This record gives sequence, structure tokens and C-alpha cells, in this order.
Amino acid sequence: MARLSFGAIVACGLTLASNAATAAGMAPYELLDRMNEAVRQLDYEGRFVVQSADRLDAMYIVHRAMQGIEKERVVSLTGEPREIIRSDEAVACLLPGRDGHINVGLRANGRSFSPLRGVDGSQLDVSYKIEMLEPERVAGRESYQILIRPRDDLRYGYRLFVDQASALPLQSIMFDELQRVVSQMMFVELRIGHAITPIEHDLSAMQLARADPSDRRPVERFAPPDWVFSKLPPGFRLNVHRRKAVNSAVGDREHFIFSDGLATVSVYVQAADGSSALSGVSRLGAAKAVGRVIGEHEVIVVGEVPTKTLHWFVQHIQARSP
Amino acid sequence: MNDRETELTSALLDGELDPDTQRRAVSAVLDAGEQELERFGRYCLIGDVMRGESSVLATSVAEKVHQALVDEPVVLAPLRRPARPWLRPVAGLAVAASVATAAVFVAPQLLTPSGGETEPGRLTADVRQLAASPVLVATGAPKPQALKTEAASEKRWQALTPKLEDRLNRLVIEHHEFGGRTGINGPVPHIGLVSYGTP
Repeated sequence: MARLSFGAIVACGLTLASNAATAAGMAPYELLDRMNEAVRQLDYEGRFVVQSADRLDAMYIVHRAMQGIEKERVVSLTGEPREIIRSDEAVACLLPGRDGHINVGLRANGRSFSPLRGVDGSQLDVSYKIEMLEPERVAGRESYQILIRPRDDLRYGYRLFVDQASALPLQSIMFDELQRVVSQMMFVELRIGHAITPIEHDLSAMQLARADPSDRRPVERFAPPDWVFSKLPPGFRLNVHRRKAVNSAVGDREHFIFSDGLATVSVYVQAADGSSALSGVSRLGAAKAVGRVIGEHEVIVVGEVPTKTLHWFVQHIQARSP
Repeated sequence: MNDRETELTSALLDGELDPDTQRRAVSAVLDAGEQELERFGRYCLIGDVMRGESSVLATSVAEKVHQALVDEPVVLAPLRRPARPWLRPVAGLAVAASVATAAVFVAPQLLTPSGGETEPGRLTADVRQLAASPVLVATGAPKPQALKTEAASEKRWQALTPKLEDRLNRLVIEHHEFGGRTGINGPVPHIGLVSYGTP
């Protein structure tokens, strides 16, 4: 009886999915491509909730794009005030709980690699099964629903609710191979394109005023790497390699970015600083990091993928033979 | 100022440099000309402001910034109407109430216990079931114990030393910046850095 019900409901679900895709009038890949453009190019402001493990937070975001330059401010509405500012020069993470400590990183600007830019359906098909489901309503807006199921346990799956009007993601659920939620976010309020609060109306947004679009520092992304990978996880490709000077003691840090078309993994290699090497696994929300010391070098792998995938990269990296 | 010198300056502000490299970075700033020196000063000021060490000056600078940005256009945005001060407290309350309401209504759904309640073979396409419960998002038999074991062996970022935590934060920022945002995890790639600041 249970099997009969299960089969019947599956058939019903597939019918609904087919109808939804027809109603949407577009392929899932096309919708993903639109979403990818929307998050970077539109002006929007809203409040959303984020859940990871047993933690739930409320956040506020305002995002503006001017002449291809994104500016953004994200503020936590729960717990200690924390904030991220993305100006055209830098990303600043303000963590007042630590004596006003600020983590600052350079903006990638035009150098950012986007795995979904001009999304490649054939590459995605290798690693994911993608289908349209029944439209849903999120944050008071009609949305398309996309289910992205991984074909193995080396990547997470996603359930996306994409705004029909703007293609912005209204809700995103990331789930693991056990079909359990790893993290999710959902807008509860969203304004798009008009009546957006100017980001600069805040003291900490001073950094945003330092617009210097000409400041596009070149990246040595084509410099030959000193490290190679004997075997990559199925579906992952190397998309970017870059170097960054750290300091005289550490020298350069190599940065490899791999992607399977949706998920990205960063592998960093630099001379080990014995006192603060990462060993084992650490996590922050959905992001995980795995560290390993190889000889005099430290390898750190970061990504929103299962831990075993991070370990794969750590275990298959080796110094290039001279 | 070339790329390497710019990186050195950034590292100098972050306190990452040894004494010799510090001197070299300072020399690079001084030699780079007035424009770079002003930029360096601005970065220092921002740091001071964030540490609460220069609030008076910061207010002045912020006012100048606001003034300078009055004419900056907002993409697709109409002109803002003058704010009515008496509405601000009401608006603030409304915002707080909406967020609180959202939290109250959303939390029970998002935080539904996920262990042991799932059934093998629940539906992929059962939209309402999935929306109401984050437990099962696709078909297949769950193995709650396996997930718990993995999670238990992982330290939270906050359990690390401040130095290592800072390094990881910077690496995550780079990862998101250069790995690109797709929207697949929502609009903001750096959510984790601000939403999980406390364990």
C-alpha cells in the first residue's frame, strides 16, 4: 500500500514538475543563468533568515550595482552586530565582538570567476540532475522552483526558489547526500530596483565612497603553479589559478579554484607558519575548511561541499616535479 | 604603487608583516605619492573608526561622504522623498516587528528536528512537504548517525585561535570573491562570516 502511494505520488510529482517547466517557458539552465546575472546586476534590499545546523539568524542586505561595480552591505540582525561591506575596492568584515577587529580582503571585481556565467548544461549534467518543480510563493512573491540533485556524494544538492519577476533567489536550501538540510536562506522581505536605501547612509560605509574603478590589479592567474593534483574529484575542473604575495616570511600563496559548474572549491598553498597551521576540519556555517601540512607547506581547502570532497583535494595535491 | 606593494600595504594594515617587511611597506607608501598616501590615511582612519578611536573625526568624514554622494544615482531608483522624522520610530518598530514575526513563524519550520523522523522514499516532488520540513529534500533512506558523526568531529571556526580564525576568514573572503557568486546559496556569498560570529 505504501509503495503504491509512493509511486502514485511520484508520478503526480513528475507531472507537476513537467507542467511547471512548461509554465516557466524556460530551461532550468536558462533560469540559473538569469539568477546568476540578477544577484550581481540588480539593485535590491531586503531581510532574510539563514539557518545552518541548529542556528538561525536574521540578516539585512542592500545591494547596488553601478556600471558593473557592485556595492553591498550585509548586517546581522541577531546576536552581536556584525557586518560585511563590499565596496569596489575591498570586502570588509566587521566583527565588533573582537575589539573592533576587521577582516579585509581585496575585491575581485572583473577578475571574479563565476561557475554559472554562461552556465554549461552539459557540464552540470555530469554531476547534477536538474528539474523544475511546481511554482511556490516566497516573501510574498511568485517563484520558480528548481531541484538540483547531485549524482554522487561529492557535492551538495540545492532546492531553489527563484523570483519570477527578477530571477533573484528568494530561498535556497542546500542538502547533503542524506537529503538533510546543510543550510538554507529565505527572504522574508525584498525590494527590487526602486526605493533602495543608499548604502552610504551609514558611518561604516565610508569605505564605499572610495570608488576607483581604474584600480583593477592584474592577477597572475596564468602563472605556472608549483603544485599539481594527481586526481580530481569527478566533475570538478580547474578554473582559476592565481598567486598572491603574503609577506617575506611566507612568500607567495597559490590559489586554485575548482568547480563542477555549481559548487566551487578553493585550494590554498603557502609556506607553513608553524604556530597557526590548520589541522583537520573546521567549519563556519555552510563553509568548511580542511588543512594539511606537506613538508614545509600548508594546504588549506575551502568550500561549501561535503568534507570528503575537501579531503580529496588535500590528499591528491603534490609539489610539481622540478 | 605596483601590485606587490599594494598587497604589502594591505598586509601592513592587517598587522601581518614582520618588522623588516613593515618598513618596506611603509617606504612604499611614502614613495608612492600623495594620492596613495591619502588612500593609506583613509584606510587607517577607517580602522580607527571601527575601533572606536576616532568617532568625532569619523562623523565629520561621514558627513562629507554623505554630502558627496547626494547626487550619486541609484540604479532604477526614483528620487527619495524627504524623510519625515516622526515616522522613523514607527518605521523602526515596523521593521523590528516584521523581522521578529518572521523569526517566530519561520523558526519552527527551519529548526524542525531532522533526526529520526524521516521515512525512506518520501517524495522529491512533494513540494508542500518539503517546504514545511527541511528534513528530506529528495528520495532515499536517511542515515542520521553518519551526519552527526561528521559534524561532531568538526570544530567550529570560533574554536580556533584568533590568528588562525583571521586567516581562515580572509581565505573564505577570497574564495567567495574570486570563486564568484552564483546565487545558488542565496544572494550573499559571505553570509557565514556575519551570521555565525558567535557559537
